[in-house]
Amino acid sequence: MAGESCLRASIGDVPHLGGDELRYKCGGDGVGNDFRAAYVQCAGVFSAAFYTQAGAHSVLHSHHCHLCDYGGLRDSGHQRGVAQSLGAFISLIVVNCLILSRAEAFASKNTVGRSVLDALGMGIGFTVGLLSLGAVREILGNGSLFNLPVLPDNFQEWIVMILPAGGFFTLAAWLLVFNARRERAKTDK
Amino acid sequence: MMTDASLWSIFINASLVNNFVLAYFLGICPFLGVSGKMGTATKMGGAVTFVMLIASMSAYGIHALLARIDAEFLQLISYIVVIASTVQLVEMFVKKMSPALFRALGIFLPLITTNCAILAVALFQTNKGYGFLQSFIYALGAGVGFTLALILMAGIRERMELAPVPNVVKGTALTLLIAGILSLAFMGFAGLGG
Repeated sequence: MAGESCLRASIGDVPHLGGDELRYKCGGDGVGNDFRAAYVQCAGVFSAAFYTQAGAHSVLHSHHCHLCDYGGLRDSGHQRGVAQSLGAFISLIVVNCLILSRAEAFASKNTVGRSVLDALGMGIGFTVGLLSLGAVREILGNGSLFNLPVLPDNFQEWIVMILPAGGFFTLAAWLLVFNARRERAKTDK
Repeated sequence: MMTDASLWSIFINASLVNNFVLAYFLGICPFLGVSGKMGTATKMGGAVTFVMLIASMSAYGIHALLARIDAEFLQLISYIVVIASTVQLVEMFVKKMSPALFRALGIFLPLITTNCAILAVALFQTNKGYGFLQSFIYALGAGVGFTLALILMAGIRERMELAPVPNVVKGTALTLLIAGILSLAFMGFAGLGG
């Protein structure tokens, strides 16, 4: 449930939450990265839920990013590629509005168990949002999905989808889909 | 490590070629939220640029200090604290000097704290190994680029208020489409910084 509300919030309400999604698309090199970004993000939301419960807010939360940054990602060999492909964006999760807003709006008022469930839902919702952007961009921009070719060889890639502009256009397109559905629901009534 | 990038190319790179908003998606919140009116957009840009400059100079000092005592893992936390306190200062200043502007900026003023563009300036300059002057120019370029993007967006959106736009596109979708086109336009600057 929480996941779904997050998807709606992150796709429908760009000023608050959606902006973050776009960020991970800088490299434009695929859905695999989205998954990793989302994983790191989930870990962030998760521990933010715990920390908030313990009464500590953003400082510990930024400390967590640190753990991701130094302890987790940079030192373990097979994940070094992740740290490189996501670059400074891992550290920038510190200023992710979603984490802070959930800590403030939900975790500070609820029990540990409920906060964790909320964090999990939010994380899943965020992942879905991230994937829906990344999939469109990777398929159209590179003809592949998770680095596996999905379109015929003679497909001419839309380079613009890999460029930063493609992120804006894709999110705009998703919003148009949602708007069109809302308009249709309105006229049906 | 020090880089020998010239100040001019750092400035052009940060403001135009790799514009923080249009090429890196940093600071999207205020870009979409405060770009409705030209006046507010300009002042928001000014506030962000100011915080960026202070944060960048402090980040340079902090990094040098932390590197000396071998405590670089404290980097992220100390940057956040500096940025937050600078924003607090700006907030008090704006509240006192111009209550109207304080109301116009609303929630987006304290949210400068979590503006990723500012933390990104501090982190990028550290990663790139810029010296003090280079960091300063880098932050200035980033701030100018941010303000430029905000002003361009506000100008277009003010015009769009009067344009006959289909209902489906109205609102955030239109703003994002414009942002995409602006971002494409900024691609034209590629190669300018050398």
